[in-house]
Amino acid sequence: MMSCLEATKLISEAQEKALPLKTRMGLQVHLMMCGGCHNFKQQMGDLRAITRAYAKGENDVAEENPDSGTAAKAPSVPGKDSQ
Amino acid sequence: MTAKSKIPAAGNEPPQSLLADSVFLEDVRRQMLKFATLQLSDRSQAEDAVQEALIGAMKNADSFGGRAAFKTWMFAILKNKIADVLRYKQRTVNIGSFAHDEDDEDISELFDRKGYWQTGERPVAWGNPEAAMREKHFWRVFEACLEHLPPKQARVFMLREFVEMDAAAICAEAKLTTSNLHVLLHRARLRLRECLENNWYLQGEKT
Repeated sequence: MMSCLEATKLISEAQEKALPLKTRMGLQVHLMMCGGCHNFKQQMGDLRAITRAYAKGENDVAEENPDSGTAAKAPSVPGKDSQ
Repeated sequence: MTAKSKIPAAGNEPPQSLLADSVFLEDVRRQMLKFATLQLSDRSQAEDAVQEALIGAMKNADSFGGRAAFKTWMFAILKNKIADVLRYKQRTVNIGSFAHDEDDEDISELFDRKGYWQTGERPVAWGNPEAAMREKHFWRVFEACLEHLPPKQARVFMLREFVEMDAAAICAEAKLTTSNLHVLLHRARLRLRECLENNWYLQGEKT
């Protein structure tokens, strides 16, 4: 069976180009049996979405959330997102 | 929400409106600055490079049909400026000469000898990233993780995911072979996801 190292390489490569059918099938088999790599695949999509949102400046409109522990310094401004 | 719908669809607006669109310009300027800062690791040099790139791009603004093309053009100019600065500083990291120098050890920490996830390194489910992206602290973690990437990995990752260049263009730009590019991106993604998982997703569970 394909190793996780190999599977993550292929999942990463698939972010740049379409993989050949045979490779995709081998990867699919690995993903069905490996929760870690399955999560990794999801996260590659998330990472792309996060980085693109960052490029659009979405981090600048995000808000402080006192519940997230270390982020309690700045009080949230009411109506801030009605820009 | 209403503010967003007023922005015309990208693609067909006349060039004059691109220069008059201060929201668009400010957006691009901020992205360029982040990009340049990461590439040069020097805020004031980054600001200079962005300034020059913007001025250069303005002169040719009327030859562009829309936002997307104009933005690509501005980043192309910026990349040239950055390359100039790096050459001038004589600290150009030759990405092409990369062998297995940048962090093989990291990989062996993540996987066992047979290439399977080490116990404790196996990726967990993140859930919906939308919620995280609404929080300022999440973005601080994300920025810190980006800054902790080894420089070569950070550069190609930013070119790919931030500037959205395709693989062929990055290889040409950075004088990389396709397989070198794949290795660098694979490592950057392994590191970034690990960093985000450890410092954001798992932190939440502990509290």
